[in-house]
Amino acid sequence: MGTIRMANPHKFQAEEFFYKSLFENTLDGVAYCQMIFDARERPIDWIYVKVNKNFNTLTGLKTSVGKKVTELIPGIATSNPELFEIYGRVSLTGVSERFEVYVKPLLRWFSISVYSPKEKFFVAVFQNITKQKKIEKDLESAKIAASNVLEDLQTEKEELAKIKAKEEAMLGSIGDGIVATDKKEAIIFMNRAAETMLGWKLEEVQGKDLSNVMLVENQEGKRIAKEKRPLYSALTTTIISNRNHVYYYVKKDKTRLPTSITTAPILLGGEIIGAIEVFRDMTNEMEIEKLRTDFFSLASHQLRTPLSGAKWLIETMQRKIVGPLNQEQKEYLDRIYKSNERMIRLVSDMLNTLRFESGATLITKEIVRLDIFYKNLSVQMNDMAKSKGVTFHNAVQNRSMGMVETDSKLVLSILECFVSNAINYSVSGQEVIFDFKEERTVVFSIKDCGIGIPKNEQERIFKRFYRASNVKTFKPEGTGLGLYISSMLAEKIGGTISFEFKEGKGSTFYLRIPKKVVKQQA
Amino acid sequence: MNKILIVEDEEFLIRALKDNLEAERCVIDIATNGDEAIKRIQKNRPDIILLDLLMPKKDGFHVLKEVKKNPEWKLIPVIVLSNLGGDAEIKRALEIGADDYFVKSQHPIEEVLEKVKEYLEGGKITKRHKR
Repeated sequence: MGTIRMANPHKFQAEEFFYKSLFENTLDGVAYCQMIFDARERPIDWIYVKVNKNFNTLTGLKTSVGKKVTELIPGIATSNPELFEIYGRVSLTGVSERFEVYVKPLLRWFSISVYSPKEKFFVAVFQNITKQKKIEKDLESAKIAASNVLEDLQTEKEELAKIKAKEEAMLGSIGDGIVATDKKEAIIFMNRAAETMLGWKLEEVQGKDLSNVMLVENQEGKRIAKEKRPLYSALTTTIISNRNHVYYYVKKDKTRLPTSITTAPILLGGEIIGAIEVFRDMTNEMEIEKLRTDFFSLASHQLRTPLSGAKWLIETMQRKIVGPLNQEQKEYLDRIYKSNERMIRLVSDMLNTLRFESGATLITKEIVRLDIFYKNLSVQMNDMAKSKGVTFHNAVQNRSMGMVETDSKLVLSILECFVSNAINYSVSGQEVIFDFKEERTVVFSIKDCGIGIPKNEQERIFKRFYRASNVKTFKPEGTGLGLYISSMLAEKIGGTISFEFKEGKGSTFYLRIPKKVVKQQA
Repeated sequence: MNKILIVEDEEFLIRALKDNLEAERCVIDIATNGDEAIKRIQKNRPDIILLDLLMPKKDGFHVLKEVKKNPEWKLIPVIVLSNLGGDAEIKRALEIGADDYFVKSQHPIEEVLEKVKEYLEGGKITKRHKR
């Protein structure tokens, strides 16, 4: 701003009026002051010579004309020493200045233009900018707050990125394939293992319907319908389904991949928002399973062939096809035959043990009447019972019979084992009694009056190759595998085996099975 | 006289079957592998075939298939005598068309002879397998 000096303010009256009116009516505050200097020409105070109306309004001061500022605003020399300097400088040099200042004693911000009409005098034209300053300050605070929030967000984002990277690394390094879908079965994620196993990239399948893209077949190559897939039950019933059988994924290149699948719903606040399918490549397991099955076939064939040869040759001799036998030869042959039969049973039991232990037995459920078990047992066991002189009774002949859903073949195998043990460990004239109770579960019992099991051996009776010490001298034919196999079979159909006995007074064996067999979880 | 073809690679099993069947006044023909079995059937059509499954060259499943696919042979009863006792093997043999199935070590030879007689007498044929 240039220097404006009124050379002669009284020259024109009209002009004077104009300036006066400007002075009085301007919205800014205007103060005409005389600067006071000390002996060393330092500005120490100023006197208000003339102020306009708005001066009082804007500063909140009253009757200021003729007063020193230090009287009018006590404390200003300490709070705003710069004002003294600026006004002093301007009133001496005549060079105008403009600045903003906070006057603490007045609690106000001012924007001030100052010029000097003559030496040691100055005119200050000012506006109260407290409001603007407040807005500015608020804006600044808001800006700082916003930048703080942004900073926090950034930090959080970085944290999330770290977590995501960690999770991705974790999911990526898992050997099992993982595919996640939303609740409409649209694929939202798959990990690297799944990509490698199935041949698809996530980008290719993202958003597509899982059951349309990744087909699943059974062993025979039949496609598994959407509603039968494990994922469907996870999405509809929140059931976590376990790997209990092998599904074949059809890969991108149309080849098949045997897998075992586990699925689980993704729940958010109790609501299903998607599902996750985890699958393991079962190729090796399937190969091992095939080798095992082949081994069982071959082993059973190879072990049975010489035994069946001996059996049929002995029978041929016993039938006197190759000539008559004397009494002694007949007795010897009978002994050889029994020994061979025992060997056949042992081989058969051992193969069954291996088969059941390996879990290779499948369960076939059917609904059957409870009375078929005694009927079948009596057909199977009557010859054996008769030849020992033992009677086999049914204690439940006249009771009404319910139905049970189970694998009847397995139940029969277990009961056959009980009955044949009971008959074997009885002597002529004793009886074996079949009974059952239908409660919440079905409990079959086979009671004999045989020699029982010594107390100190009872814990071991379901162990492999266990034979009661008192039976070894009594009956030499057992293989020691029957009860072991039975307990494994019972487990497969969700049942349990137990027994009660008194040495010398006989034993009762119980088979407890659920009325409805629940598919065994692998 | 009834003609019976024994298809079996174990000499002592052949012996046991032959001795018993001859006692029942049957004429016995023998093949010790699958290829030979087909040749024997062509040359000397049997009334019944007793068929082992695991044999060298052509196995019993192949022989069974050829017999049951051939319109002239398919009515010849085939009784499988094998020591393969798995459910899968029994099912497979019966599906191909075996008329009966015995797991040798589990059955006295007399049961096999009874079954042969049943088929020879005809009419009484009931399809069922024994293990």
